[in-house]
Order: sequence, then C-alpha cells, then structure tokens
Amino acid sequence: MGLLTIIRKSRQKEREMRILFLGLDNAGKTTILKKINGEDISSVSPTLGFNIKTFIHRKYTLNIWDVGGQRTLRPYWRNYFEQTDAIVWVVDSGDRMRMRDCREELHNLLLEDRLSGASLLVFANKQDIHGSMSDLEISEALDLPGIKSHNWKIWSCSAVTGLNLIQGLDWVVEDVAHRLYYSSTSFA
Amino acid sequence: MDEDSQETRLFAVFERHDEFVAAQNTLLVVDLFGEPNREEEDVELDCSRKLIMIFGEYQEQSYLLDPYLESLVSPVAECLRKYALTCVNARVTQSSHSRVERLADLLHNYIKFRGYKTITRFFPHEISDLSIALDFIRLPSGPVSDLSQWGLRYAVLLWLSLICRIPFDLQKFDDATRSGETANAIELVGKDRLNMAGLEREGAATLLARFYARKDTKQQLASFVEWSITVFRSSDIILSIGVLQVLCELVKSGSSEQLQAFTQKFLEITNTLEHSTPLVSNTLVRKYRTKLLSRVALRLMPPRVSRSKLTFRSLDGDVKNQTDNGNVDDGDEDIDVPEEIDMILESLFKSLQDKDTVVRWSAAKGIARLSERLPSDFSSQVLETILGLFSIHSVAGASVYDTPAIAEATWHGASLASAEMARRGLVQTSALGSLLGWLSKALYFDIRKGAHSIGSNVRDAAAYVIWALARAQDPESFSPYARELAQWLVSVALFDREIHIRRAASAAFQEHVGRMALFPHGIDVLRKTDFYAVSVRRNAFTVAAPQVAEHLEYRSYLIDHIISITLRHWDVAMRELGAQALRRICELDLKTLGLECASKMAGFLHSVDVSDVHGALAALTGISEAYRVQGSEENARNRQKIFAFIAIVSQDAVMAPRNGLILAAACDLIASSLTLQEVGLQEKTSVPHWKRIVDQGLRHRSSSVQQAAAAAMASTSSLIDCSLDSLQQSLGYTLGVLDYNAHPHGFSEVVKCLLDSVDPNSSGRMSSIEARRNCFQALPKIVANVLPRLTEFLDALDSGLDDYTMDERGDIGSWVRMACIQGLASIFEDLFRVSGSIPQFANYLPAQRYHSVIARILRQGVERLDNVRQIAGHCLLRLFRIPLPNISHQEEWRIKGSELMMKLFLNDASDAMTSWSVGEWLFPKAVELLRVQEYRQPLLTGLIHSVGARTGSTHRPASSSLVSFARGLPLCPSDSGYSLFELCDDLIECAQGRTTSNAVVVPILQTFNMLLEADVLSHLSSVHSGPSKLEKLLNIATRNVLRLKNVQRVQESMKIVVNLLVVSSVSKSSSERIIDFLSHPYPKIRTSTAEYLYTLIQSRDLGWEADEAVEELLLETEWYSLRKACK
Repeated sequence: MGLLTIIRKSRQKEREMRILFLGLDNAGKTTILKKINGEDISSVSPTLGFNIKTFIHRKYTLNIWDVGGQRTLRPYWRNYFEQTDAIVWVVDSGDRMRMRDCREELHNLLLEDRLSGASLLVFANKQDIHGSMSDLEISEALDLPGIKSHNWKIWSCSAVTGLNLIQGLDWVVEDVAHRLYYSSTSFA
Repeated sequence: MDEDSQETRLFAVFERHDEFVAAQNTLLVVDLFGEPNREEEDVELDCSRKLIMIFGEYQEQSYLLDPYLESLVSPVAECLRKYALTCVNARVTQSSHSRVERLADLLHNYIKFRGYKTITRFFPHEISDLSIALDFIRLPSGPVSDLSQWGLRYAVLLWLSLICRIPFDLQKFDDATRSGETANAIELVGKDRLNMAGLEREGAATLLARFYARKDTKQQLASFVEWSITVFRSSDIILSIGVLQVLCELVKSGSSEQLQAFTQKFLEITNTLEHSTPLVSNTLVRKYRTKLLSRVALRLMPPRVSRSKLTFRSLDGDVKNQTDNGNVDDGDEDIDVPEEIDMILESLFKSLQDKDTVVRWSAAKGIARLSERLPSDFSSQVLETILGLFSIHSVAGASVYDTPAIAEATWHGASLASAEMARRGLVQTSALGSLLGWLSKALYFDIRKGAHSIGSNVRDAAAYVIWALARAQDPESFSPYARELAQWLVSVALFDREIHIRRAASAAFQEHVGRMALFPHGIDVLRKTDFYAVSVRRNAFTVAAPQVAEHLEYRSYLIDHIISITLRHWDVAMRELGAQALRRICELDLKTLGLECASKMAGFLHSVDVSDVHGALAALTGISEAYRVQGSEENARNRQKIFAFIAIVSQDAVMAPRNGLILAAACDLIASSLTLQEVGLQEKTSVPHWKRIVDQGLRHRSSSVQQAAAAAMASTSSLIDCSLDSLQQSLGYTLGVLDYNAHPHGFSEVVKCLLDSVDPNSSGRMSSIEARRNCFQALPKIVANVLPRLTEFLDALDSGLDDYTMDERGDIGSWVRMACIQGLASIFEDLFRVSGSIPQFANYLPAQRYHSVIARILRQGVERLDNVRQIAGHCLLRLFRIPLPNISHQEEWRIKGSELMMKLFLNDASDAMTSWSVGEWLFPKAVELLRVQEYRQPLLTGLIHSVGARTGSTHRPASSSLVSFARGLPLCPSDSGYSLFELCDDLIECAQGRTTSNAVVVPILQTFNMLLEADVLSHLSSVHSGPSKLEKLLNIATRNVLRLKNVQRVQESMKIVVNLLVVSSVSKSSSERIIDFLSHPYPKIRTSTAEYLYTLIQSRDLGWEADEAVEELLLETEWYSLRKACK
C-alpha cells in the first residue's frame, strides 16, 4: 500500500471531498473562500496558480482547490489522485459583457473526463452590487437547463455580505455525499 | 494503483444496474434442488461470469452501488434463507451442487466487493432465522458440509453472526430440558470452523466475536479466553490465527465493562505469543498480536476530544469548538497513563521493525492512534522514539548506501509511524527539523542487493510523511525547510527509478505547493513535474528535468543528484538516462556547466566499481555530444579535454573481457569526443591506446559493443583514412558505415567480402546468422553511397529472400528476409530517385527483374509471420508511392495491377500502413492480387504457405479468403481474368514439381480440401480437361500413400479422396482408393477415414443413395483395433 493508494482510500475513510472553485477571473472565488473562512476580504489579489484549503463541513472534510481563472492554469486541476467530486462555478453577476465567454468556458469544462459525474454549483456572486443579473437571468444566459451530464444548482450569493454562501455549500456537499457516502448518509 | 488509475474508467453512476439485475434474477429463479441441463448450465454460468465481470468493473468505485445494495443483496440473501429452510424442514440433502455454489459465489462476490460488514446487514434476521441458520449449518451431510462449498459456509457463518445479535436471551430458544443448548450450539459451530484454512475461519471468527460480545455469554467468554491460552500453547498456527481474529474483533467492538476484566489476560497472551517460536514465525500471528496489543492499549486510554493540531475551520457552529480545544487542553495534561501503556508501546516499537510489511503497518497505525490519546509531552516522546529508530542502523557520517539491508524494515516502519503521527497532527514544530533530516535520507533509501535493490517502500513512506505534513502543519513552521524540501521532492519526482515513487513525490510536492505556497517557483515546477509528466521515466529525465533546471534554485541540486546518485545507480538504464538528463541540463549553460560536470565525472573514472565508471563515461559522452552539436573551436578544445579523460580509466578495466559495458561506453566516448587535432597528434595523443580500445570493441562478442565500436570507427573514418582489420559479426556494422566516397581504394574489396559472406555457395559464407544479417544490413547502406555493382547487390539481396533457416529459436531466416526486403525497397527507392542521371538505367535494373523482385516481396507479404508481412507490406506501399524512373519507357516499371492495389490498400489511408500484420484485414485483399498474372505464382506460393500455417490467426483468414475468392471466380478461362480452372491448374502445378516435400504438398492438399468442402470444385468436371486435372489431383493424393510417414499428409490425402467422391467425373476412381485408407496401417487414419466418410455420406448429395448397411458398417466397426478391408 503506497502513498497513492492511501490518498485514494482516504477519500472513503475520512470522508474527504475534492471541490474545485472555478470561473472567469475576477468572479470572486478567492473572496468567497476567505469570507467562508472568516478571513479579511479587503485585500484579495488575483490568484496566480491555486490554493488548497481544507474545511470541516458537517461531518465531511472538504479539500477546496481555488484555481485562478486564467485558462493556462487548467493543468492544476489535472490532479494526482482522483476525479473531482464537485465544481463550484463562480459568476460575476454584474459582468454582462462576458456572460457569453462564461457560458462557453463552463460548457467546455463539463466535457472534461475527469469531471464526469461531478456536482455543479453555480454561485451568482456579487448580488450586493446594484444592477447585477438575477440567478434566473444567469441560469438562462449560461444555458444551465441544457446541462444533463451533471447535477447542478444555482444560488445567488454575495461574498461581501455572506448571503447564501453556506447554503450553497450545503447543497453541494449533500449532493456529493449522496453519491459517495450513500450508506452513511442514509444510515447515520 | 499506479498506471491503472488512468486506464480504468471512472464512473459517475452504476450504469449497468438493469443488466446486473437481469443476470442476477436468472440465477435466483432456478430450482436449487434440480440439476440444470446442459443449456441451462451454460446460461447460468454466463450470468454468473457476467456478474463477476461487472463487480470487477466497479470494484474501485464500489460506493456507487450503495444506493442499490439493499434491493440487490436482499433477494439473494432471501434465496439463501428459503433454501436453508427447505433443507432443514424436509431434511433434504440432495440439491444441485453447481447451482448452490453459484448462489454462494454471488454472495461471496458481494462481500468481496463491498466488505462483509456492509453486506451482512442485508441478511434476514427475524427471530425464526436463528434456528433455520443454525440447523442448516449443522445438517449432517448437508450441502454445508461439502468440502468444496466453502463460499456457502462463509455466507451462513456471517448470517449467523448477524442473527446472534438478537436482543433476546438465547435460553428462550432452548428446549425446556436442555438449557444453554442453543448458545452452546452456536459456540460450537464457530469453534469447529475456527481452524479452517480458508475464508470460513474469518466467518467463524466474526461469529464468535459477536457471540461473546453478548451480555448473556459472560461465562462462555471467560472460558474461551482460558481455552485460547491452551490453544496458543499448543502452537496450532491456523487455529491460533482464528482465535486471535476473534480476540481482536472482540476488543474492538465489545463493551468495556466486559473487557476490563481480561486486560491482564490479553497482555499475558501477547506475551505467550512472543515467546512461542513456531507461532511468532507466522506473519499473520504477528500481525494480529500487534493489533491486539494496540487495541488493548486503546481500551486502556479513554478517547478524548481530539486535540489535534489540524486547524481546519469547521463551517458548522456546533462542531466548531473541536478545533479550539488545542488551548483548553493544556489544562488536563495530567491524565493518568496506566503503566501498561509503556510496556505495550515498547512492544509496538519492536513490531514497527518487523520483517513483514503488514505487521509494520499495524504497529504504525496502533502507535499513532494511541499517541492521539496521550498527553502531548508523552506523544512527543513517542515521536522521539520513532525518530530514534532511524539511527539504529546508521553509522555516523556514512551515506545511505552503506546502511545494512535489515535497516530497510526499521526505516520503513519508522517512516510509516511518522506519517501516521503527522497525519494526526502529532508532530510538534520543534521535532520537525530532525524528522525532515531523516526524511531527506529516507527519500533516497536504496540499498543494492545483488542484481536488484530494496527500499522503494521506504522512499514511498517518506513521501507519505511529507504529504501528510503538508496537510497538518502550518506554513510558518515549515518555512525554514521549504527550499531544501522542494529540492528533495523534485529530485525524487524526476529521478527515482520507480514510477509510483516519482508520482508519490510529485503528489507530495503538489500538496505543499497548494497548501504552503513556500516552494520556489512552486507552481511552475509543479506544472513541469505533475503526475503525468513524471509517469514515463524517459520523459521525466530528458524533458521534465531540464525544464525544472531552468530555475537556478533547483539546477545545481539536480546536477548533484544525477552525479552522486543516478549515474552511480545499480541499474544500467538509470545511468544511461541519467547521462542524457545531465547533458540536457548542461546544455542550458554549457559554457559553465560542461567542464565543471565533466571534471566531477572524471573523478569517478578511478573507481573500482564498474557502475561508477560506466556512468561517468556515459555522462562524459553526453557532454561531449553537447559540445559537438554546438560546434565552435572552443568546444572542440573542450572535447579534446574530455577525450583525455579516457586515459584515466585503467586499461585492465576497459579491456577485461566481461566489462563489455565499459568498453562500449568508452567506444561511445571516443566516437563523440575524437577530434582531428587529437588524431593529428599521432603517438603524442593523450590516450595512446584509444585505437586498441576500438579494436577490442570490434572484436567483442556482444553486438551492442560492436555497434559502439563501429560508431567510433565511423567517426574516425570521417576524420582520416583507416585500414581495416575487423571480424565476422562486427564486419557488417563496420563496413556499412565507412565513408567510401572519401577513401574509395578499399571499396571493391569490401564489397567482395560482403558478398562472399552471404553467398550460399561460397566457402566464405558466414555461419552465424547475426553476422549474415549484419552484412545484409550493410549492403543497402553502402548502396546509398555507391551505385555501381548494383546488380550484384540485387542478386544477393534477392537470394536472401529464400533464407528459411530454422533452429531452436524458430524461423530465424526471417531476420535475413526482413533485412533483405527492406534493403531491396530502399535500393529501389534510391535508384528511382537518381534514375535520370544513370545512363542505361535498364541495364542496372531491367523491368522484368524489378517485377520478379516485387512478386517475391509480395510473397513475403502474405506468408506466415506477422512481422515479416508487416515489413513487406510497408515496403511495397513505399515502392508503390515512389515516382516512376525518369527515363524512356518508364511505364514498364509501373507495378502491375496498380489500380487494383490502389483500391485494395490505399483506400483507407489511415490503417494502410499498419495492417499487413493483421490476417483478417490482409488476406481478403491479398487474394484479389491473384488476378495479376505477373505476380501470381510467387503470391500463390506465399498464400499456400499461410494456409498451411499452424498459427490460427494466419491460417484462418488465409484459408477463408482463398475459398471465397475461388468461389467468386468464373469457371473457365477467359481473356480478361483469372478462373477457377487456372487456379486449380496453378495449385497442381505447384504440388507436382515437389511431391516429396510435405511442406509444399500438405498446404496445397489443405487448400483443395477447403475448396472441395466448400463445394467450389464440383462443377470443374464439366469443363474441358477439367476431369483430367481432378485425376491429377487424385493421383497426387494417392500415390505411395502406404509409404508416407507424415500423418498429416495422409490425413489430407484421405480427405481429398473422400471429397472427390462427390465429384461425378472422378467418383469412381476415388471410391476405389478409399480402401487404401480404410485399411491403412495407422489406426488413427482408419478411424478418421471412417468418420470423415460417414459425415460425407450423411451430409452431401452423392448422386446415389448410400446403402444403410454401409453407414452401419462405418459406425459399428472398431476401426481402432481391427484391420480389415471392407466394402
């Protein structure tokens, strides 16, 4: 039993989930994470590369990979151990100009082999900013109803006020748990 | 996991659910008491196999079946229950063995798939089930007692283990008169099977553990523990393992008040075991002993709220204080630690150094779990002790290489324990320095042991520690070590010998980059060394390593690693790759790095260790190669300096007959570093004996050394004229690469020598097949330079196509044939290209000659060996594509039937190049070429050869294609194309010339038989002179039959004769000859003739009604023993 086996087994044993935070640059991925973590969000700079954060949520260990928005950073979620359990796609609700970009990126992403079956949570971020698009509008703009390959859900949220952040995470954790740890969700 | 993680598919849901249920239902509806008939048996077996296959597919993601498990397993368990009930009620003992076995097997596979704990839950557990299961398993001579029904026993034992947890007093099940009967029965069922070697033992142990964990079995538990002590004294290994399994399970899941009384007993037991030599020599005994010890210890230390240092933030309010506890905890550090703990830990430390991995693992986990419950100063002492283990076998100042081999176990155990501690956040910042110090050595732990090495497990475990530290430690405590740690990990990820270690190091690196962000250029370097980049060793060494070395922080460390470890590695391949990696890295800054590395390498040339010298020479070659590629005068001087290093290696070392490796490396170095200046120095050269080294290389018996020496010769000859003295095998290599344009004087001798060496009629022909192959390979090389004397070459290469030499290695002539095919093709290509400038091209290569060679290559393209066909096909397509010679009447050189070929082979461009080796693809196309008259005869010969092949993948497609081709042919010859008549004629022609050669005649007879059986030839007698052809065939088949020794040939002849019965024109004459076979001296021939004849009479229309008496006679006669004429 080598390290690679240990890593793989630890997902089952320690109830770990691997969650990717993705989205165009300036969508607010790192800010959301900092807010959840109770850190100061006033001094967030663009993420070059990626960060791994670990939270305990419910009885699960969430390993969250916050990956910078640039396309060149894709290799970082080509991971060494296993497929991704969930994707959190963060959208800047005020950025109407790039909504089309955003849709294309998202749909391309879902074609990836290593993401097959992963749950998809869309965060319509920056709801605190006046004039931003609603979750319904965004759902349409991103053609979410057209996604059949993944379980998905959209939550409007705000990294600044903390609106819906935990609720959204709750949904995604629940969805993954039902797939990976069915026996413990239904028996525990 | 390794590679398979990429290869096995990842699933998101249980896609094959419906299919699975259907197959399972088929197995569940059958009557277990009735034997299946043959068809049913087949169907059920298929279902069973299918289920197992689906299990296999999902094994790695077994959790995906969880939502369905209840609906899947319950019916199976219910089926078992019903079966048991019927057996018990009716006292039946007769049931279908195979069906019951399949049912049990299905349950066993579920358990294997998802674990017994999960699966057992779905077994029925009504009160009434207790007596069913119990009676069933005790049924005298019932199915459970059948020795081969281990799966059934296992399932029923597990079932019982579930039922016996019912919350009722077992006495309620007893007859009034015999109290305690039920409990005793259950215990007996378990105990009786505790000494079985198979899985049943595990089932029995589970049952007993559950049984003793009951509240009403206190008495029995006490006596079981007493009994177990006698078992251990008796040294019955299997039974001891069983008993230990019960105890381990019990200590884990039993209630504490029940167990408290036995703590001392358990410790006594572990003590007894340690001193029982026969028991302690068994791995499993040691493993369970370790397990028992650590579980007893965990019972002694109550669990506390985790004071783990893992500072993960919890998002839920109510669990939150978990992490804050670290500070609060300091208050209750004065927990009582029972004194037994000390003793247990000591014993666990011993197990940590056990010679078996499983024991070390168990100890490591036990120690870490226990430490989690200990006060923090105590647990840091534990860590200190673990670290102390590293130093046991380390002599101060010595490198890892001098560590004794037994250190492997200790280091592995210590690393595992450190990793388990680190994972639980039990490594204090103060201990980090010394831990990392040891890890820096463990990461490179590699002890040579004969022709292999040990220690990859230590390296893996070291990566595990570092990975675990990344998850549990905070960045501040790591920052002083970050830079070094990054260098260690990268060098292991790039340069370890094993793929899983490279990946493990890469994983640890990634974890640190993502969590600590302390590594220099972490993200860039990670991209260059990720899981995939390091998978292929060559890629890691020659692509990823130089990329990483672009960062100065890593460069010198990588170079040092290559020089001090990789180039001295015990594996040649590692040294060679290491040399390439070093070259690539030096090329980043050749000016500074080149000579610096070279002089370091020169230091190793003194070594007495062959590997060191070889590694150093290989590295020097690489650097010198780098200089050569860059050119410039200064670099030439540098190469001269490197060349001078050769003198350092002792001549004895180079010249020793067994040091071929060094000799080859030295030749390589000469080839890459020899300069004109150096040669000009004549006697004053810095390496006076370099010519002798090359000479020695040419004479060496290993071909790789010869090749290296030939390369050295080539580079010498490009500088100066050199006279030859070379021998046999290496002759080919050498002569092929010499530069004749510069020094033409020896050329005709060389050619004569080569031709002589391969001429079958010459006394100078070389007897060694390798030597001949080398010579043939040399010929086209020379032609590339020199055109005249072409026809001689062609003749020689052409005759090489007839080399069918066989020895115990098989058809070794094929090496020569392949070399010749390729040689011919490249000669033609060259020739056509320069055709414009050759006066009288037709004299060199007459069109007819060209076509006959093409036909003969075509023949090679349809013969038996896949690789020969592949090469022939490849060459043909190459020839097909080259433009025609640039001369008058060029059309004469166009390949015949080119339109047909174009249609057949160039239609699907994608696979055209690759498929000649695949019989199914090739033969249906190849037979079509028979329509091309010019190539027909050789092609037919090749096809017959393939029909006669014993290789199924050649024989089958070749025969079936030939038959269907024949079927599609018109009967009579016409002007436009081929006909069936001509095909037969050609085949008979082939056979007639060489009736004595079985290799020729047997395949032809086989071919005819196929055609006859397929009813293709029956109309032949209606054609003019058709009957006479068939007579000829009959003649070939029957002549001298009684004198033939080859059974296969007689068989085929017999079939011809019998088959011809159907053909009206020859049926009379053939029927007269059948007697010869029915009365043949070989019993086997008589029997098979009768059989074959009978089948024919039964199945074919003979034009007359066969006498029933004949049929009967054929059937009834004892052909094997009798020998009589009949009919």
